[in-house]
Amino acid sequence: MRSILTVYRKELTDYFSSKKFIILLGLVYVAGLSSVYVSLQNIRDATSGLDGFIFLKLFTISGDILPSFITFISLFIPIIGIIFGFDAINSERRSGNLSRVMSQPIFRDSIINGKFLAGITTLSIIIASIVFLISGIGLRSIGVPPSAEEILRIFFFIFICIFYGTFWMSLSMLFSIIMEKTATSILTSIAIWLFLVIFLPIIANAIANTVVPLENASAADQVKNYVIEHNILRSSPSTLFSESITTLLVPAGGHFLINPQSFASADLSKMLLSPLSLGQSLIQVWPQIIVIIALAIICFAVSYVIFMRQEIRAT
Amino acid sequence: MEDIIISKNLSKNYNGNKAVSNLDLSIKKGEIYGLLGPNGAGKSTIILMILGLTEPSSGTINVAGFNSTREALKVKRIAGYLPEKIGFYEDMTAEQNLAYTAELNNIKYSEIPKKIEKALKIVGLVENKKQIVKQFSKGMKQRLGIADVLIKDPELVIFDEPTEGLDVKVANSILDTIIKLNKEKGITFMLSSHQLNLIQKICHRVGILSNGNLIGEGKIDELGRKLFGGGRFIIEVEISGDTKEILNKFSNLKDVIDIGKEGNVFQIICNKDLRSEISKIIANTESILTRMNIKDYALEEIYLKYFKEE
Amino acid sequence: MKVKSKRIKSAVIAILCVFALSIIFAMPSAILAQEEEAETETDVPEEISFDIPYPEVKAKFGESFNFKVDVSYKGDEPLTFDVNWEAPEGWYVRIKPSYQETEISAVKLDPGQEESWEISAAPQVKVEPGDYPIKIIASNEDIGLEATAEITAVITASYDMDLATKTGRLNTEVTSGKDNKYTLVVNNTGTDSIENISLSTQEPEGWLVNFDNDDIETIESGDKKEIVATIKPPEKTVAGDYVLTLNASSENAQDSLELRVTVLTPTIWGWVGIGIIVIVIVGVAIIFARLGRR
Ligand SMILES: Nc1ncnc2c1ncn2[C@@H]1O[C@H](COP(=O)(O)OP(=O)(O)O)[C@@H](O)[C@H]1O
Ligand SMILES: [Mg+2]
Repeated sequence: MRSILTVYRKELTDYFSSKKFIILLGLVYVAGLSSVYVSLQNIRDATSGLDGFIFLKLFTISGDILPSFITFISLFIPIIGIIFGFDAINSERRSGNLSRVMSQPIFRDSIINGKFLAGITTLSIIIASIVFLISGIGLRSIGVPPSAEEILRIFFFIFICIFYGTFWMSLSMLFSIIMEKTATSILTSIAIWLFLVIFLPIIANAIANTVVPLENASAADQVKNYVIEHNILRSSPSTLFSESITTLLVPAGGHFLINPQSFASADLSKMLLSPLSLGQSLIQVWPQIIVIIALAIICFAVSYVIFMRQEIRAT
Repeated sequence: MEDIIISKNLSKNYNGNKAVSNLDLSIKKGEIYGLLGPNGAGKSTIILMILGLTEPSSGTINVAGFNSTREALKVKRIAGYLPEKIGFYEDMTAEQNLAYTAELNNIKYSEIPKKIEKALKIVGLVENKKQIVKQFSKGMKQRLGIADVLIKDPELVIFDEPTEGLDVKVANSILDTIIKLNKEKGITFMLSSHQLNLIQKICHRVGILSNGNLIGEGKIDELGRKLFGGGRFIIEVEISGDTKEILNKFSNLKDVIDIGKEGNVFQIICNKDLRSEISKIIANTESILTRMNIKDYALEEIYLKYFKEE
Repeated sequence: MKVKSKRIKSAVIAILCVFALSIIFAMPSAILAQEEEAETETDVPEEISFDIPYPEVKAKFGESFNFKVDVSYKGDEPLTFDVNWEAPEGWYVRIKPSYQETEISAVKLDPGQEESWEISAAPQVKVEPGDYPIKIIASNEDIGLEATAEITAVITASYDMDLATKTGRLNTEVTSGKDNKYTLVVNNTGTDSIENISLSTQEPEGWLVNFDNDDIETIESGDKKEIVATIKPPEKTVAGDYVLTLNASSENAQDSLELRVTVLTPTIWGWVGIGIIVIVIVGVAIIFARLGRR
């Protein structure tokens, strides 16, 4: 147990001494602070004084030029995760440290566990600190304290962000185990990310338009088209992530994003955009959250098994 | 003396290729053992199995009574290992690197600075304590590697290719340190190398490995005999005149193992320097000794046979 | 030195020449003019008359009274008339030819010429409602010809009210969820009393604005009344500036006022916010100090 802690502490020290981490942290802070600046500019227009969830709007309101905090964070989390994981093992192996460290009286998994935990810790520090910073600035500027429910929603939001980041970190860590070169492992991770974020939407759109052409389509067909596209997009963790955080942070109406059918079939004129309770919001996105966590665990488990069976000698 | 490493019938296959086959090895406490063989002979594989970092395909290996496969942790507690391409965390200082090793060895925090100081003193790197490893030369890194294994006060140090990539002077200073540690602290060393000529002089015993097989083992001066069916000396004698009679007389000499003849040149393989006897025999005949030379051939031949091909 | 004095000399000579020449040319024309004036003499009957289609104009105090006057002149020589006016104390009258901006005090009329003038009169000081006669006089003293027109400006009672803040500032600060008192002043700036003044507001959604007295029975002319408005933004109001429109209206007059209301961050949340920011920054700094390698 002490060996995990030793590896963990060393890895944390590495993070907090490395330039790449400081640059990442700076980027996240700049993005987060500029987005809160924008949301503070626009928060009053978006707030009808009676809506209960003013505080959450700090995170969800976008400006004309700058996107909202949740858009920024959806972009940054995969990057942070990938950067944290891509060279976890192969750089140690290449540098000849792995054999030396493994010849110390420690279990082999101490290394990977310690690294994994340190990565999660650092990720959590980044995410939690920027969210709290925004909350503090928001509280100072808008003077409206968050309700207990809002605080809970923000904590759930932080947890989901951490799990999502953990998924990306374990994925790139997996590549760092199976690939010898760090260049290969980072390129592979980034390729997957780009595919999910850029190409999958294009592909989904193309498939949906092929199956149900949109030209002269009836309203029902348009919905069908959208549902097809949406279901394809669901195969991407980034879609699951944005669905869950939107539902959590936009209690009124955020969940329509994930239920296009109900949105289309409902008689909107009779529907009130009343906010969901926290429980209801969570139930709406429970499957998404579970899948994100499961993906993170699966990636880690595969990494773990492969690492435990691998030759440790430098190649 | 007690054996510290004992392997029985140890084999390792990589995708059907035998990297090590049926190895029986025993290394005594307090000795410097050299595992010699060309690249790809299986030296590193054996070392990894000794430390429990690779599982044998068959056979067993024990270090100080602990099974390397099942009790790897206990083995690693007493055995230090310097891998082939040793590496340190380049952005950390020498001290920080050693402190990390110390913590991984579960050494009390309060004792760590003292241990680091002591280990660095032995390898002569005390002044470089606060220097980051990035600035270290290859030889300094190798010495830091020795300090690194000394942190855990090992009974046994396994050193894979200790002189690889170092110039002769630096290599010799590393070897001197090994001898010193062996003498003063009684640490058992197992060295692996393909640089036979560099290593052999400090080894009490060597094993010659070729294609995963241990083809010879023992003290250097005994090895030739084992490998080439005895005989440590080859005496070449060229005479003019009748050779038949002389051949007969040579055969009757004690200590002669084998005699070869090509025209009027003899090759006498023997255990003793028989030159005076040979010249006496020739003087007693009509023939004239035109040339005679002798060589102490064992290591030379081993080297030619097993190491030169690369 | 020599060159310079030469130059000055020639300049003086040139100036003297110009002076002399101008005297020579001016003399005859002056003599000619004197002769002409002496010659002028008349014996044809002249007449000047005013025609006023609307001699009486009603308006409220503060507005100006506009009349139209047609002037006609008969005679056989063009004649110049002085144009004057007489009005009660405090009035000022402007006489202009129609469609022109120049104010006139004399006019030269050709025989048979008709002209129309615009007359605007306005009191320069506060005057009571009532009739104010004004005389317009055109006269030529040389031949003793004069015409007079009488017009009347009737000031009716005026209803005017001014809604203002007591301090005169159009901005205020409030705390959300609390009753914030703010004093307004309704001024009757008209000439008659204003009755049944009701107050109303256009406020941001969810705000409550009440008046201690939202139906004022009457305010005499020149009088004012203070009203205390209670502004209560909802509990969860985002801090910042809001616009609150206040209206005072009666049958005859009305006024409105845009008040810029700054909702302040309740001090406690301001401090909690700062506290959180400080904790985060210090926390991250500590983590860096503890974990970072120097
Ligand atoms: N991970 C591996 N997979 C497959 N073959 C390997 C692996 N590691 C070593 N070998 C093979 O095992 C043999 C012995 O290698 P090694 O023990 O490194 O030799 P040495 O250390 O004596 O140079 C070589 O033929 C090498 O190709
Ligand atoms: Mg090797």
